[in-house]
Amino acid sequence: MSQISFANIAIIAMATTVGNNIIELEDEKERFGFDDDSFSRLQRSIGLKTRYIADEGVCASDLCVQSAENIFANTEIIKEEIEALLFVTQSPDYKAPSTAIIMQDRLGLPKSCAAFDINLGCSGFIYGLFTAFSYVNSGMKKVLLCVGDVNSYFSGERDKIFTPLMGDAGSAIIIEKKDAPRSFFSLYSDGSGYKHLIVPAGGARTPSTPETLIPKEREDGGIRRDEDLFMDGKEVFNFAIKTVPPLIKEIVEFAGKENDEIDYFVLHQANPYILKTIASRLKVEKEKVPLETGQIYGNQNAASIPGTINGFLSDEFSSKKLTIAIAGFGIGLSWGGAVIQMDNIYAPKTELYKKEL
Amino acid sequence: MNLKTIILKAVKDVNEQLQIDELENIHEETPLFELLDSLGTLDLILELESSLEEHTGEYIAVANEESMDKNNTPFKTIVTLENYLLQRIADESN
Repeated sequence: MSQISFANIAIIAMATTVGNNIIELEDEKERFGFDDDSFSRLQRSIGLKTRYIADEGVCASDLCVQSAENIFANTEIIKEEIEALLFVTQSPDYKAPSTAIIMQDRLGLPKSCAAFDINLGCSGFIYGLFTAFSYVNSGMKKVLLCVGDVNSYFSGERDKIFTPLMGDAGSAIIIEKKDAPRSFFSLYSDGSGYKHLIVPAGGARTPSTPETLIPKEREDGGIRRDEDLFMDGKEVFNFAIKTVPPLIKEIVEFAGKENDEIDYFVLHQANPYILKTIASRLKVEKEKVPLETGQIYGNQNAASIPGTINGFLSDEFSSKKLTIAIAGFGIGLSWGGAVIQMDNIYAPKTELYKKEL
Repeated sequence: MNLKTIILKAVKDVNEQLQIDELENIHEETPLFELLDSLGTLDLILELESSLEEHTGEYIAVANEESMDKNNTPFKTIVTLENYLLQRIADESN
């Protein structure tokens, strides 16, 4: 168990950009081969309504760059003070080099800025934040954390199991040394579950071949290539319900808090039923557990926690001092939680991607 | 309230969309969990929650940390599900 706390480090700005195409799930019935019954079943069980998708060719880094430029344009934060750029993604621009290094140049950050990618999915915001806090704790002035994914990179074009859940988003977050209450983190990994959420081919273990690029109908009814993401829904549900409530309980206790001292529990927006069940297990008022992000924007992977704050709680976070518990969980299997305070941060409403940038 | 009737009706309602042959003639030992995919199981959970709320007047969360655990799921058969729900209702009323 890795439990770490930091003093006098805080998030001061957070912005999120989403894909500019708003897709109604209803309009995708034909693409995924849903009949009316299976479509209404999906809407009932997962509550999907819309998702925000980027144009073909737009990368997660493009969404994150817009989010970061939003922060630099609207706050007094200056680029020269950024000493590290971390990019958490599973959809990099290239297999190599790290996309973060390219972003350093695009954003006009100084060459003295360390930059690298972190390969994580739904737990990625917590891990990225932990890494950023560690760097600031080591003496860096400000760290820019970017988190985001475009789903087309790893989800099958006609995979009705996974693709309808996904949305494209990229967030930018600035972390700095400042007077702030202690922040608490707890991180976990369990590689024994790596097959439950996996892109089976295209890496060094199973290299890309013409065969791995052929879409095939699978046992679960989804049509996907070996280079698309496979999700074992039962195992992932099981994992989330088993691990997240104890994680939140542990991190809130570690922070020396009671649940009623936490203003919001902002969890990775996997699916609303999972979130509702977690809230019920924790005996937390449902108003404190936002759960609409996936239904409106789609599953935003590592960006779903900032995506929820910018998407639904922007006014609150821009005007109040809030103590929040956050938790991310997913591919790996990997999970982590934190209790942090945010005090009147720059948290604009989620923006659509602007092509001209 | 006859719990078994509620469960059988919920399975029947879920299967109206799934059309799984084995669930058409369901009996106490039909391997429910094996036959349902994750969405089907979630659907059944929602159906049961709504039906139990109708009958008891209270929301009872049906999912637990073992709902989709293939070794320990209470959704293995009608019998295991009935026993589990009896326990959940008892827990809620205490």
